[in-house]
This record gives sequence, structure tokens and C-alpha cells, in this order.
Amino acid sequence: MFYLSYVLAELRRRRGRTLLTALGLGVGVGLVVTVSALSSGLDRAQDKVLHPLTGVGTDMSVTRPLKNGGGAPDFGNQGLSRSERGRVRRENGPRRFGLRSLGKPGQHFEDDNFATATQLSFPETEAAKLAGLPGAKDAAAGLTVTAIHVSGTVPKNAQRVGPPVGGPPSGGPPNNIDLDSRTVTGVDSSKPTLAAVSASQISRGRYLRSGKAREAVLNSSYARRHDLGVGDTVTLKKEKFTVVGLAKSPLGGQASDIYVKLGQLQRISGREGRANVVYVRADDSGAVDALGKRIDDSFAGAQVTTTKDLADRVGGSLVDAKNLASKLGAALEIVALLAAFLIACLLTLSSVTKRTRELGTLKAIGWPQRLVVRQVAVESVFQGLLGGLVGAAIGIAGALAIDAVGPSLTASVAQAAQAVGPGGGGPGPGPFAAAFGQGQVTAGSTSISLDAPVHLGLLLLAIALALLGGLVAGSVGGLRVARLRPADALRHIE
Amino acid sequence: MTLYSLSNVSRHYGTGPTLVRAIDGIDLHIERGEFVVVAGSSGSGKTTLLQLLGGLDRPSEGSVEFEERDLAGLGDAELAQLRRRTLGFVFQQFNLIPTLTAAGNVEAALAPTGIDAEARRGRATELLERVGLGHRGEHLPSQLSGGEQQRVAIARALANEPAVVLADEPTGNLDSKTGAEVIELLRGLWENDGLSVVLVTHDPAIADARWRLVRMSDGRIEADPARAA
Repeated sequence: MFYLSYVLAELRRRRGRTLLTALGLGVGVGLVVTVSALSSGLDRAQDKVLHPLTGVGTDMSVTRPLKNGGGAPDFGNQGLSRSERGRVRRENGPRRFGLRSLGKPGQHFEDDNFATATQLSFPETEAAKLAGLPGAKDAAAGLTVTAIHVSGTVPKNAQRVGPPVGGPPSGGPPNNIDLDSRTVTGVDSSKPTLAAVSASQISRGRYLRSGKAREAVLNSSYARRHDLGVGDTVTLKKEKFTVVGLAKSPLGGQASDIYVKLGQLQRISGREGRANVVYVRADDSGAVDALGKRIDDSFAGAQVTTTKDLADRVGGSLVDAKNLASKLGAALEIVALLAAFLIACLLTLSSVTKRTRELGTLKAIGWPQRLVVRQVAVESVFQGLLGGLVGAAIGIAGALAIDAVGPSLTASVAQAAQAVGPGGGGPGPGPFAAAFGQGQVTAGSTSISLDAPVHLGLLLLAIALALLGGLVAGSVGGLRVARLRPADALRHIE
Repeated sequence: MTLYSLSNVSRHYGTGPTLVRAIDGIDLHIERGEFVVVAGSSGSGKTTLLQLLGGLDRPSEGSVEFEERDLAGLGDAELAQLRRRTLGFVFQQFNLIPTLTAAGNVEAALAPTGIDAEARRGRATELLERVGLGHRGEHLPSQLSGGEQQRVAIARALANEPAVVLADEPTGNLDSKTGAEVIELLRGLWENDGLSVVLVTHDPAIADARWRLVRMSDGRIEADPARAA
């Protein structure tokens, strides 16, 4: 108790120095709190943008993209077996679209086709194989196709039009024929967290349920464009699907217009047992790279895309600010802390110098060295504690200022590279390229209001850092005291 | 019984042309119960001698024995313990802790001994009463006169019932009347309590006829009645 009274009495007597030391430490740790809160706010803003891109860091999608061989593809450079080549040729090869075969001139017709342009299909059983690889936690198959619905009246001078897949038809369709294309994805509804659309993305209604009922989830922007809502129906190859939910696609995430159950899409698109994407979840983020390599080795023509790759495509001022916070922010925190610690050390050394005779007297009257050192160190730790409280207050004030200003940041994603059409003879932004692409990466930009959340842990960190500063300063001061010879200290002139 | 035994003690500062011989080959023996006044002009080495006697400094040459123990053989912690248990210091500048009250300053000498707070406070009050400052226990040094501050310093020196009080110019900062009162206080302790006192002063006139007056000059003992005898 005596020592504590002495410490408090000293702090009171040297009020100016105590406040200066506490303020120095407070400004340093306050800056750390503000920058950390800002960084936390940026994380939260990024999470909002990417939500519900779940599994960032552990999830990946595996596709078999079409390689651009130049000219009309025969899929010979895909590394596929003969039977697989035959299968993908039948699914993706040029298809002649003969109006004359649809009816007599003047007769109404409707025709449905399902095309895949950039991703070749493979057996659905690949999902189970990939799930069995070391480092894989689970896997689910998916199928994304473009559903092309053509309707109209057979013209009198009907001729062949085509090809519809991957390249522009010469001269375009006749005026009396309507062409409607939608991207449709079949998902394994038994694994709602491992699919092109997850339950967390549902903004209205519900997710697909297992069973035979024909259900569909619509992309909310597609639903808005076509004035569709929960309870309405969409038709795919003359089969009606009840809309059970609307889903928002995250910025940078994969988005199709319509999501149905995998088995139902396989059946109506004539792709029974086929898939063109496998969603794989790794055991942990550390296993992603090794698992990706194993997939590359075991799955001919595989292209592995992690959700982090998608997240990395998000740009704009949000990302710039995040990068700035993580690089400059960290440097700023370190410099501020070092400066605060240095100030505390210098002030403590100055204080020890001013108190040389007093400390020498303590040694002269028989105080053991450890007690004298402890006295100086404890005083410094108290100053650190005070600095921590000041720093927490400064940090909170800084965070409140950011909240009050509420700066707006934008996150944007550029349009994905244009599709390569097998019939189109190479890459190029043909008029059907986007329409015939797989589930498109959602492009555009969104605005996020930045805040700076300060949580209890951050405040405790501030106090701990200030205490550390006090301890460092106390140790430096204590070292000086320890080296003080009583005779010299008593000769010291104040 | 011999309290101190100094043999050929020297204390030098600096080297080469800047060498200062503060103490230069002193032999001195002090018996228990003696009142020794070390007198000399400024720079004669008397304060350095007192610091050697108090274990605050170590000699460059020779040996300083206290109760037949060579202080050179003691470590810093042992010297601190010796000062705490056996020696009491009184300084010219009083050297009170400015943030502590008069009672707190006396308690400062008792705190490292580990006695409980109540006993510590009781002992401090008793000592302050003994030096005539029982009513000033809660006053800060800045609220006390020079004489009162020196009385507090004497109370602090007596806190652990030392065998010897080492006083360095205790009247140097006091007027003659107050200085005389302080000397009287020390005389009382010597006469009534049997304390040994070593008092350093530039004024030999304060010496009582019964006291041993040692004169110093240029780091050497110029006159010592004990040596003459």
C-alpha cells in the first residue's frame, strides 16, 4: 500500500509529465484503434459486397473449358477419350436449324434447344471422384446451359438458318421469328451450400427442395426484367417450373437467369448424367492449392477457379482503400506505436534524471535495487494505463468521426472475357457470345457506405499496447536507475 | 568494540592528468558509542569519507571494515541491507521525498523491512514525536521549515534503530539557532541512546569537548586525537 501511495503521489506531483506521457501513448494507440476500426469497416464492406460468396478461401469450381484450336473444333485437342469426344461433339457441334422441317410456310412453330458454348460437359460421376481426392471435403455437380427458345411463323421462302451456336447467323433471323435465350443452371439441391446458387442468396421465397416437383429459383434481376415473382411459372422446353424463390447474385459471383434441380435440367436438355461444373470444397484454405493441382492431374482438361479468384476480380475504390489500409495502415500503426513508445521512453528517462537525487536517497536509506526499479517501472505502467484509456477515447472519437462522415466507396467488377464459340471460329464478341456463355460473372458496380466499428477487443488491445509502452518505458527507466550509483546520485545537483 | 576500521583507504576519480585524490591513504578507527566530528574545508574529502563509511561508495584502494566485515566483500544487495538495518543517514539538503508527508518519509525507510502498515505508521508517529514533530506528520516537506525538514530526516535515519548515524553537514542549510537545535538533537541521541555518530562539518566549532574531532585536508587526516594518543 505504501508503494502504491508513493506511485500515485508521484504521478500527481508530476501531473504535466504524466499527462504528456499518457497523451503520447494515447495518440499512438488511438491511431492504431482508428486505423484498425477503419480496416475492420473495410472488411465488413467487402464482406457485404461479396456476400454470399460463401466459402471464399476453401471453395473452388472445376470446369472443362473449350480450348481454342482455331477453325471448326473437333475437340481433338481437349485430351478426351474417343467416346467423350463423340459425346461433346453431339452436344456442342454445329447444328443446322431448318425452318422447313418445322412446318409448312405460314404455320406457327416453337423450337427449344440447349447449348453450351465454353464449358464442355463430362460425366456427373466426376464429382464423386473429386470429392474422394485428398484435401477435398465435399463436391457437387452442376450443369449450366443456354436455353434457346425459337418461335414464329415458317416463312414462305424458308431456308436453313444457322448455326445458332457460338457465332452469328448470316444475315440474322427472319423478322417473323422470335429468339429468346436464358442461362439455366441445374443445381444439386441436396447440397445448398455447394452450388451455383446457395440458400443464403435467396432474397425472397425459398430454396429448391429435393423431390420431383418442378421448381425454379430466378435471378432477381432476370425476374425484374420479365416481371416475374414467387408463385409465377417459367417454361423450359414446354415444361412449366414454379418459381419458389428469387436470388441475388453477389458482385463478382456466378449468375444464371434460372436455377432448377440438376436432374430435371439434365433430362430436358438431353444431358442425362452429364455436368459441366463441379463445386469442390477443400478441407481448409491451406489445402486449396494442393487440391487444385491434384484436380488438374486427375481430371483431363480441368480448369480450377477458386472463389478467391472471383473475389479478386472485385475492384474500385473499396479495394483501393482496403489495399491502402492493409499496407499504409499497417505502416502507420507501426510508426505511430514506435513514436509513442519512444516518447514515453524519453520522458521516463528525463523523469529519472530529474529524480536522480531522490532515487539515490532511496538507495542510501536501504531500498534494494529491485524496489527502486520497480517503483519507476510501476509509475510508467500507470502512465501506460492512463495512455490506454486516452488512446481508447481517441480511437472511439476517430471511429465516430468516420461514421459521421460515412465516406462512400464503390466496388466494381469488369465484364468477364467474351465466350469462345465453337462454331464461330475463335474468340470475339459476337452478338450471341454473351447469350451463349455460361453463367455470367455479374458485372457492374455497387456503392457501400464505410463505417469504422470499434469492438471491445480492439479497445482492450489499445490498453494492452499502451501498457506495453509503459512497460517498455519503465524498463528503460528502470535500467537507468539500476545503473545509478548511490554516491553519484547523492552528488547530483537538481 | 571497533565499529569502523579503515586501512590505507584511497578514493580516486578520473585518470592521468585529471586524476583527483578525494581520499588519499587514510587510516581511521572508530569505536562503538563514539561521537566523531570530521571537520575540514570544502574539497577536503570529508563527504567522500562519509560515503565510504556508509557503503555508498567503494574505495579505490585499501579496506573499509564495519564491525570487522570488509565492505569490499559485500555485494550491492548486502550493502543495501547493511544501510537499511544498521546505518542512518542525514544529509545537508535533507533529501526528503517531496511527494510524501513527514510521516510518509519516515515510513519510506521502514517499508522495505516488510512490517505491516499499522506498525509502520505507529513507529513513524513515535519517531516524529521524539524529534518534536508529532503534530506535523501529515505535512509535506514543502510545508515545513528547514529545521523541521532536518528533524524529519533524523527521524527517518532512526527508523530502523541503527548502530550509527552518518550526518553530512546537517547544519549546512540551517541558520545558527536551528543548526544548534539539530546538533542538540544528535547529542541527545548519542548521550541517551548510546548511538554512534559520525558528523561531517566545515565548522569545527560545533564540536563538544567530549567528542572526537578529526581534521581533514586534501584527502588526508590532518589531526586525530585518537592517533595522537
